[in-house]
Amino acid sequence: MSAPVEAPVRELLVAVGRRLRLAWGVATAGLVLPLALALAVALVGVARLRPWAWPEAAAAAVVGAVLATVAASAALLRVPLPVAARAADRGLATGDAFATTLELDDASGPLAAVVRARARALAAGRRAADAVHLHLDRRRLVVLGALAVVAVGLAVAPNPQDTVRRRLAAEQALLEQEAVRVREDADALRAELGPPAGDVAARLDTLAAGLEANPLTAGAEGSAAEQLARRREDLAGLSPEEAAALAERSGRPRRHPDRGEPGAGVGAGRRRRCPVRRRRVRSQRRPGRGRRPTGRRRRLGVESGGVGSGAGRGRLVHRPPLGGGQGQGQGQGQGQGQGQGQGQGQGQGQGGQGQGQGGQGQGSGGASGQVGGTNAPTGSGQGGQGNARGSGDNASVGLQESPTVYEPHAGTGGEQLHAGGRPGEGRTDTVGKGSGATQAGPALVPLADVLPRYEAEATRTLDRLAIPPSQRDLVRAYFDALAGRR
Amino acid sequence: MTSTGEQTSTMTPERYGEVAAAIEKQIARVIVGQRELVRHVLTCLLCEGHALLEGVPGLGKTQLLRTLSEVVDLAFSRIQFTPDLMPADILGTQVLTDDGDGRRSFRFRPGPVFAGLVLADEVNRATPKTQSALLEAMQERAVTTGGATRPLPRPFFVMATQNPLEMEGTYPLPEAQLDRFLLKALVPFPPADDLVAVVERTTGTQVTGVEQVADASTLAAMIELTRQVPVASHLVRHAVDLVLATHPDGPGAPEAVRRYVRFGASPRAAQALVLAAKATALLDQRPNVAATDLRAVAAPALRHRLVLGYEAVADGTTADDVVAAVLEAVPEPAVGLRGAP
Repeated sequence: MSAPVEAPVRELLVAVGRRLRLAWGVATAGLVLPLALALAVALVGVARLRPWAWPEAAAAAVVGAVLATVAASAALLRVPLPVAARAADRGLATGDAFATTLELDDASGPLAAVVRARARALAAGRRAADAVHLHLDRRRLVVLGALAVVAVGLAVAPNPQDTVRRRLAAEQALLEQEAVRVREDADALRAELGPPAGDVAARLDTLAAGLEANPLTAGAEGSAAEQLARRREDLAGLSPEEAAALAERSGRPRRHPDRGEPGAGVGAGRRRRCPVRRRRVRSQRRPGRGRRPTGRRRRLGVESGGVGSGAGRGRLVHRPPLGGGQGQGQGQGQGQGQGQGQGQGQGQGQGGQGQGQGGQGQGSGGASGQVGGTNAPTGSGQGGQGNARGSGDNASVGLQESPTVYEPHAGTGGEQLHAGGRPGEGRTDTVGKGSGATQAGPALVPLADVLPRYEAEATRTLDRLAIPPSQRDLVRAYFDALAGRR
Repeated sequence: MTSTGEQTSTMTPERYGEVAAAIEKQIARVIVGQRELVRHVLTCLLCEGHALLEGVPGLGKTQLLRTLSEVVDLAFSRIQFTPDLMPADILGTQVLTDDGDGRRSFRFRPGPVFAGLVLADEVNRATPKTQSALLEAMQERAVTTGGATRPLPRPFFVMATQNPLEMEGTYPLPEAQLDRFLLKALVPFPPADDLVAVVERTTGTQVTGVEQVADASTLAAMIELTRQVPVASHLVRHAVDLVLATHPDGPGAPEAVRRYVRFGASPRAAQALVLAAKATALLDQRPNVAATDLRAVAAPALRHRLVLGYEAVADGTTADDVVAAVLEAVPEPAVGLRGAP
């Protein structure tokens, strides 16, 4: 049985144990910290390439977690006295005096006292720091310092992704607002329709949850759009009662989504869809992917608007810069984007506005657009097809030459017309009478009279939607071009 | 300075050091240089172990042992091993004697092995049969002849010299006998300055004498104190690790061992390491063994216990090369904690 260790020796060995914990922490940190710093540098580097918000915080968290773990482990490390004694023997070059002293017992013979005395003498005046030096490898220190400087430098230096992050944050805020509105709509549907609205309302709630749970990021722009597409399919399957209720709530008769059907003149309307659909379309306008459906729908709206002008509630705008229109037909092309958009439509119609207009749109850039439109003498016509991608400015010749637009708001009545269209193909068959002057006044109004209202509405819509800035700029440029501001 | 009749209880490390230093000093009056050789021989003396000195003729091996016998008061006998030496010439024999009244009887006449310090000069010149006569004496410190076992006086030392094996007329010692030597010390050729001193001392008319500085009881007390030196457990383990590393299939065996060694060191090697380390610690004025003591005696304690294969001979690898590889492969016991010294 070992005899008690004398106080001076024990005090030294306890201090050496503490010092060993510190040395262990330093040595361990020297091993793992380069890895953590390398990971931090990688994360900070990623933060400069991608607009993710988490890499810098993750980098700091990694380094902090490693340091905290090492410090905690060092603090909790148990250093037995024999280990401390051996460390002290090696560090102080005492010839294993301390380790031997710890193992002495009553049967150790006459030399035990001599060994203890020698250990006591060796412990006197010695410090733990003399026994255990904190070994810092210079090369490892250089690596650590370099990695730390690079990591901090990358984190502190201006990051071009910050702008993107701020924009995404703003868009996310908008999405959340939209989610709130969708929920409100769902609640309103439940309140108004009761149990029949349950399924739709539940889907709206799901949509809202999706909007909140799937923030718009540069790398995941498809999720919300896909959800919106599913919701669209859901709405297409509404029963007549549900559709009527939705239409009533939206303040107008229901228009079958994406069919181009005028229904009760809704297709010629001012595109005031029910809130559900409106938000759906809004949410679909996502960077890069929302362009084409939006253009197609807009074109369909224009065609329908042409047909439904007699209903008086529609809003039709000839948009020569996106193609061109000639005549009374509703040939409409839309060329957006970089490049060149050309369109030409022609047609004849009968009615009070049988005059044709010609216009050519020509854009700058590489894309191209074509519009062909014909109107049969009987009043039927075909809308044009536009094919354009990208963004850019379109110079409009037609606008300058034809500053009037068809304004269905000016009319208050008219015969019901039917225009059957196919979704996405931009083709509409118009049956019925052509549009003409309404009771409220002429349907063709100067563009300058309605352009501010259109622009205001478009701007308001843009502000409410999570549309990428580049696409917003495109819309603004469009209106600037219409207004002749550029 | 003569020390006589000391008991174990009166022997202290300080006294131990003084006597050892006195012995070394007296030997140094005759033997020029060779301090490491003298230290190894003294270590064997203080451990009551047998020493084997190997070197070419003329390097003072025999002179060293004769001087040692004069410094310590021990019964000394010298056996010159030759090829025609018989075991009875060493151990003794039964002789027919007349007791004076007409009766005759066999009486054992002790051989030269019955002494405190036996100098077996050129031990490898005798045949293996004769060499083996020393086995019992060296291990059991007793001699069995004529059906009777007779103990040898204590302390009992065999200090043997041998010429390198490649010399003419030599017989290699059997491994069993080699293993009984505590240390095997190599006698190097002296440097020029030492050689000058040797020539000057031995070519004049003045004869250098030595004093007896320790008697048998003092030596016995020192031997007893040597065995009482405490050793930390991790150092005992280190000695075992060193021995195990000499085995080709042992843990931690370096490449040199696996390639050149046929048989590694025996358990006696570990005993020899620890015992010699104890004496070394006391000679260094330390009351406990340190790792450096173990490693300091590793070469003399292990070199004669390794059985090398023919590849070692072909490559010119010596036992000392293998021991050096073992020491490199088995470093001093580490603390086992990252960041510790």
